Amino acid sequence: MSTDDRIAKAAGFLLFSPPGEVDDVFNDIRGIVNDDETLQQHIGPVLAESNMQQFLAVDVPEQSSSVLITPYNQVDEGRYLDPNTQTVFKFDHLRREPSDPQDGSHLVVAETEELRAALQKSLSAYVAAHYSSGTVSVFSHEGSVVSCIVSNRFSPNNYWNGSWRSVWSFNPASGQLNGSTKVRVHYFEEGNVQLDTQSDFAADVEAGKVKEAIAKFEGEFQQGINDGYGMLAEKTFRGLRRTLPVTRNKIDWEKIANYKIGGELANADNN
Amino acid sequence: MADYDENDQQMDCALDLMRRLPPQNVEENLITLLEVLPELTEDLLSAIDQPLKIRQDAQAGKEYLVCDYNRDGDSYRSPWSNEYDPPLADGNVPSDRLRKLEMAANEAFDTYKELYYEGGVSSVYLWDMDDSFAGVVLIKKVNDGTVRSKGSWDSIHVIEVVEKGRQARYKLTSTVMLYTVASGAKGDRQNEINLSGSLTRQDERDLPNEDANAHIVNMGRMVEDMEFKMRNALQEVYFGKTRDIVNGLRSASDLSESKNRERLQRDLFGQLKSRKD
Repeated sequence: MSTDDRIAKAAGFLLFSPPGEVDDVFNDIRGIVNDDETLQQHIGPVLAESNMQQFLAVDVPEQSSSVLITPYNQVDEGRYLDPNTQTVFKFDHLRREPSDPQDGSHLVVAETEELRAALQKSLSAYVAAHYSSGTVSVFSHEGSVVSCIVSNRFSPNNYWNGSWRSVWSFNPASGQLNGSTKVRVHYFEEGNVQLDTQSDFAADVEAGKVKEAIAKFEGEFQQGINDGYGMLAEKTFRGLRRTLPVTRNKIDWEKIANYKIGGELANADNN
Repeated sequence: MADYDENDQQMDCALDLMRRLPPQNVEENLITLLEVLPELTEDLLSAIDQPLKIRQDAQAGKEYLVCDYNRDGDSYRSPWSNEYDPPLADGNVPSDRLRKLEMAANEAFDTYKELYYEGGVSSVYLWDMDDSFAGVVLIKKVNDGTVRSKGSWDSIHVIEVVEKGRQARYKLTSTVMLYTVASGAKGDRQNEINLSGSLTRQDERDLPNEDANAHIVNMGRMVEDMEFKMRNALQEVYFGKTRDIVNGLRSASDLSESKNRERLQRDLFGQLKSRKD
């Protein structure tokens, strides 16, 4: 494998970073590759994909508004639209810095703007009610209205990070709502434990009931996770290893050593 | 000197990376890492824990566990027959004295495994060191009985022993890998909950080494005590802590409702208090 291929593979690790640890993983990759110049050539697109995957929230320059960086509001390479303020801006994926705000009113999709704005309003209230540190951005995208929700909790000093991300796409023409939710948790005090779960949803809903449907599905998904935890703890984990043997006492090692092995070891000593 | 430092840095970064990448993909991640750092293959293979694989010792009619500690080239040594598979003309084996202890340890931990795991496979491998010896106690148990959920437990206990007259110092480094997966209601990848990873702990004790059984007894007790602690830690981290984190990301109930309730309680408490005064 050529050096270039190896560096490209190393850069690819970035896409599997746990929530809130992209910088740590990036530093590990830098240390492993030990060739910043070549790494620079490969890391750009990977960083962009990573930021868009994570639904990075950024402040819109010269506006008191924030918006998520996603594939659905990407105007072209390195430029994103905030439909709520109709601003287009540049985004540096390496430094994670927005800049150069411009008028983006020509990018508003007239047919779906009313629905988009209404959904943005109702989902903002929904997210405020259920996600203590959540953000939602609603975009018009290819004839549909796409809502992106992200809720992150980062506590690296306590060795954990977590993220909830959902995407909901509503097509007003067909009345179809498609959604996908992903939850990832990383615990890393003297270990590496991760929760990875996701689900897809599809249903037909009225335009005025999209928020209700999203709330219902997400609530059921969360309940499903809790039910799953119950099963894993009570059945799966229990079935792997007992707390104590059937005798309810720890093992008498002298007895085990003498009973089975006395002969073997006595011979060893005589040699 | 410069090369040594670079390798050190690369190893440190590789190990930190493996602590962050999803444990669900530990095998693929290691393969990719070996492609990126082929010059560190031996170091990476010995430093990065992988889920244990089970092999059959046809000769002995028993199963054994394979990992880097019983590997020589591409062959693995069975703790029962002491033979390599595929066969090796002069593969690495413990000295005669150590082999006897190794056989005794395999018997003892096989019993331990039955009492705690009621199934599964165990293997113990020992190797000679300059003034002492070291070993690894391996246990693997898989629970895939139901359609709705499955799990596996892998214990890797590395013990270093230094004999000092009538005492011995034992240093234990233990890793338990726990993989649990709950399938969705439809039994497919949809709604699958994958909660997996590992925890590592250490212990060090000076214990009497006055008879032939001492090492078995001492190592046995240390491993048993360690697994007791780690089982509790795993339960707490997996099914307590990570679950709390999920429920902190999203609140099933309306947050503003609970804020109102709290405010109401505070007001009520304030009114009751002022009435008493």
